[in-house]
Amino acid sequence: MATSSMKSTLRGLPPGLPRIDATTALPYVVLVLLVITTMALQGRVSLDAFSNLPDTTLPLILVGLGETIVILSRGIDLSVGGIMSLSTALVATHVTTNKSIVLGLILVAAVGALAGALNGLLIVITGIQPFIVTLATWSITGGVALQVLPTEGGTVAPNLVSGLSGSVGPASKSLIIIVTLIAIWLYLRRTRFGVSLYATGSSEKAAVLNGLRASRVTVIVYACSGLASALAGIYFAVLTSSGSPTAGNPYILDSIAAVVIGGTSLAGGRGGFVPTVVGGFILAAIGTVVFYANMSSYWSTLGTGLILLITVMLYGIVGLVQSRRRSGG
Amino acid sequence: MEVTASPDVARETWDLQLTGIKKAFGPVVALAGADLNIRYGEVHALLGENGAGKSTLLKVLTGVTRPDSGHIRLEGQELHFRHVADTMRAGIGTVFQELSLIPDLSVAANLFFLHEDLSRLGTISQRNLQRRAEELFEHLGLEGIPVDVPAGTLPIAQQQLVEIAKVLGRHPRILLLDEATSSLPLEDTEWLFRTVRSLTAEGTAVVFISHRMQEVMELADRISVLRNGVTVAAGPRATFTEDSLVEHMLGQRLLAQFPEQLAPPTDKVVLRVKDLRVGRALHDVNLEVREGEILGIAGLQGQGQMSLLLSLYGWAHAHGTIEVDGHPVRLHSPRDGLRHGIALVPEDRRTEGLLLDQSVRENLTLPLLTQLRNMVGFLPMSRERAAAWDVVDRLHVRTASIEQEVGTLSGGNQQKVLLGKMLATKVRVLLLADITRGVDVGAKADFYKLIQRLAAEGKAIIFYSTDSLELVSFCHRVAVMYDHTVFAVLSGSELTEENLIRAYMGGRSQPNKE
Repeated sequence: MATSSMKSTLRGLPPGLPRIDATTALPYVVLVLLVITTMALQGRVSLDAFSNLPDTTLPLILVGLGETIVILSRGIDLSVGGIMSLSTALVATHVTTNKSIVLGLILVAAVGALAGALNGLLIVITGIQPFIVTLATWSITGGVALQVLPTEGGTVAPNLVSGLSGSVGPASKSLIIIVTLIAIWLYLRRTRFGVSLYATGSSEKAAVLNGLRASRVTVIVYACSGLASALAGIYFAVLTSSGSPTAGNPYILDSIAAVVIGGTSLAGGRGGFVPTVVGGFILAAIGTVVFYANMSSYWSTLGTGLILLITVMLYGIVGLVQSRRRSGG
Repeated sequence: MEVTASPDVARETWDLQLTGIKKAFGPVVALAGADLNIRYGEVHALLGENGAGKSTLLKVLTGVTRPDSGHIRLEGQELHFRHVADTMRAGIGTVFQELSLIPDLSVAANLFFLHEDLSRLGTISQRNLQRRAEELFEHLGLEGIPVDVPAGTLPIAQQQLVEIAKVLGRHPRILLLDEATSSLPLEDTEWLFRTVRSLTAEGTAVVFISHRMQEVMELADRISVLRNGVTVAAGPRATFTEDSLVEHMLGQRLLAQFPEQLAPPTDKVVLRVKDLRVGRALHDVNLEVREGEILGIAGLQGQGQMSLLLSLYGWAHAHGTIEVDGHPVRLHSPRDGLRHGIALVPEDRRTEGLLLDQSVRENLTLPLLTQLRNMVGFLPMSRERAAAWDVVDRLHVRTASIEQEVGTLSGGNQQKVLLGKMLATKVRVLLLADITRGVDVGAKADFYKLIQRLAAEGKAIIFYSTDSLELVSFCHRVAVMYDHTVFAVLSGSELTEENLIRAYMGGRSQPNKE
């Protein structure tokens, strides 16, 4: 037993800092490789090609935040697409003038959180798998979105658009929002809720034996995801200055891909939001590479699939090596 | 000796009192009016056979399971537990048999799970947690357990120590240990015993379930014995002997109908197992099963019985030699097992082997398709029907017709269909995993007959059961598993229930008195 205590001191990092190993580094490496590829294609060292990446990626990052929380708790949320569509449709039809923008946004966000909480309640009360429950509520919220806004169009209040786009000094507002989200996340994961979230996902049974109310955590988790999707919808309306009743659908699988590429385990309890942000940027950067390589945009879909497969395989290999080393040493 | 159903007299002297606790899970009665009386400053051992209700009783006491009826009084006050958190607040701390550590959280975070001091912002400081974790380990005299690694990466024995430390860190008035020593090495067990003694000296009550008779006699001040969900004996340790405890655990049981005479096996060894090892679950297992022999596998839960069966079926990665009919075989998957004539009838009949949506006939004839088809490869329905009726009649399968869906049959009858499939197949070794559990007496008798028939056909049968009477009455020999290996093999006049129970707890047989 004395040897294991030596090992822990040898690991040497100050307590509290996440350990940097191959798994956590992987998404960063992939992102850097994509950036270098773009520069090589351009033939010059410049990040200009990525200047509007935060703008276009923010909706995905917001949905990804919700999806990360759900997946950490060992769930899955397909309704993010429907809730995001509904929120975009509501903004484009009801937050069209500069009057009472704030109230409008709060109501839209509340609709998203409530729809998410409903997911959580259905899962807890009926015991139906999250996949099925959220598949149904995706359809339902998507249907409501089509009732609210049958075709693409609508208008978004000019002050809302100007308030959320552009930049403050050198940094775009979307980048500031992303940094703020990361700060909120880093705070959250140190709170009681954060610990409960990871615990529930890691082993719900053990969490319950420790006196945790797992059902409560589940409801909060899905409510958070609904809220994040609604915010994504609001920002999407701002980005396009109009509404689309199906805006959210592409974000369902993309958000799950971003979470997985970031390294968060679908088995729950392992991962975090920061890797998801990196995963989201990876997905967006694939499009940039394809553009500068003068390839048809269809190639970006193919690239996404390849990157997804390769990263997940690498995670598997790294995990295997680590567990071998642990049991061997 | 105080041996009555409601044993203890002076009511007011008990600090924690459970009376008339009843709990049923569907048709299975786990507790049928169990009592438990606990006093601060005493070590109380809870004994009983498999399925006697010990763990359920502890789960009631920890709020995991809600009883159907009965009373829990703590210091005279009636309590109703709804969640584990309720019992924690009442000062009850539990070390669960199935570890309750959260594998991905650090050891430190596990130790103070949701009991952390929060900072002004409501956050949890890792540094603070780790310092307190180290202090706790030091206070308890535990050395060498890292506090900053995920709890799931520690070896099982260390996880068990963390689990114990976690509960002790909350300073419970009543400490419940459910098989806390089962995965501890000797030195750590001694540490635990020292700790338990100093806790009781400070006035804590300790309740423990152990399957090791030696531990019980060494540590307990007071003993309660459960049988069939009822407390059948309770009193100070001095009023019991090892023999009387075994007697209480067994009781006078109704004899099920066993077939009178077992046909002796032939001398031909069908299955030979040498130095079988499966990770931590199984080690140094050596066995031989002969043609026509029924070998029982016995032991208390979690001593490696299922690992043995699964590894023989190719389902667990095993090291060592397995020979069928003298030929060494390598088993990497159940497919390999089946190819070499080894078949498993599992505990949970739903998981394997039956097509629940298909009829009794289709299930029964599936392994016989080659035998039943005619010259042009066509399956005449008449042959299929005849073969199916033959099995149904012989096994007394209670089914409206052979076209009934298997999924709509009762559990016992599904089991019969599954066994029936093994008749007339080329299976050499049949592994039966506790198939008579929860089956009514009539169906059991049918099973016994059927298994004997299979043995008479020349198959070697490994019959794992949790029912000691069944094992003694029905098997040629019984291998008792203890501490993840075959501890003893009983046969002939040695094969008595008393010796079996003794071996369950790591005790040697005593010569038969007759």
